[in-house]
Amino acid sequence: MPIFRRTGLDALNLDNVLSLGLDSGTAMIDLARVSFVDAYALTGLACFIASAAQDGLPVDLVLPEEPNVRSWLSRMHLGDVIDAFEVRVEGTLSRVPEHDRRDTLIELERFQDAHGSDRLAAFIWDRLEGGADAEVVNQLFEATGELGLNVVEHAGSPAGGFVAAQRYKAGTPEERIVVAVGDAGIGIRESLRTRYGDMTDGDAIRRAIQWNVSSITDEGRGQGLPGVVDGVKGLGGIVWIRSGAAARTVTRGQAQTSGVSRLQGTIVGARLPCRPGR
Amino acid sequence: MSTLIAPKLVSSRHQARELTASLAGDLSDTVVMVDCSALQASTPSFVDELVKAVLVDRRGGRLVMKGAPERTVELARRAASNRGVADRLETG
Repeated sequence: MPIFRRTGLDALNLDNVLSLGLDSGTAMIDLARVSFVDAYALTGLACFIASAAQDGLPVDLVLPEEPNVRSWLSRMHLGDVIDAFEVRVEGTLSRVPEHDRRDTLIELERFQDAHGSDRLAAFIWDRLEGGADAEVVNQLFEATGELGLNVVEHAGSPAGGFVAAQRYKAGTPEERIVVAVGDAGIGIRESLRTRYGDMTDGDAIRRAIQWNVSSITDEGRGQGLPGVVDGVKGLGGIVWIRSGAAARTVTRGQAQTSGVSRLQGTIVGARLPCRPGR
Repeated sequence: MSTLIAPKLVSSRHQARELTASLAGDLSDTVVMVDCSALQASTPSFVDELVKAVLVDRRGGRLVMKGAPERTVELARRAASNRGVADRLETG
């Protein structure tokens, strides 16, 4: 559904700006009326672009009308993805001066292998250490490491994976961090199919967040994603998992699966309060 | 005894395999001590792979995690329990 009034773009409404014209042979991202893009949605845009490119579909991108949102996208290095995948852009995404915002931004980064995943987890630690409660920084390190490793080991994504993060409302009681890791790979359902048989995307997500469930037959496996979900929930955060045509939102007291437009690959994001004990 | 030194941050299974690559293939009479005094954070996957590489694949006599952060100790106990080798893990 197109956006007619200005609205923020996040895990819950990413579909609103994406369209895949298989008949016309193009993929479209329309950010014209977007007033805000969070780190999860930014990672989702990168995955959508990579996925379309894998399918040989040219991608057309309409940039936001709001100059501040265009600046933010540029500052978060969306331009690198645009260049890498030869996205056709309506409007200009000019380079912006990069003032030091290491304590609040982790720009969109692409990684290809375990070394890249290790580097990103360490990057998260270095950027956030001291800027949030120790347990939050530790949880974000674990989440980035585990989710990055899932991309490398299970996703089968030729384009690799993407990660982005941002801290919001710094210095206020509502201070929080959103981090997301995504890929344009085979998705959770296909990853689990060989070992567990056919199932829906929603069932695959539900199964993947259970302990000891893994596509690899090894009794110690299946600790990563459920550990991320448990850890984030335990700190009062929220986890979004999207794979194929399903999305699941998990909080401490609630879990809900919904149908979404099919998106190749998997995106997992988390939002955590920076100081959950206060 | 064989001693390994864990770096400040460890995350992937690949890092665990790199850390243990120099160990002999059969450690059944050997104590492997991992000096974790510099370690600040680890992932469940790294710790599981370390336990697997030492206690399962190489049948290590004992794995001693020295000076590890509380969270890493918790992960090591869980990994060792999952793999049925908790009796050969020592933390402290």
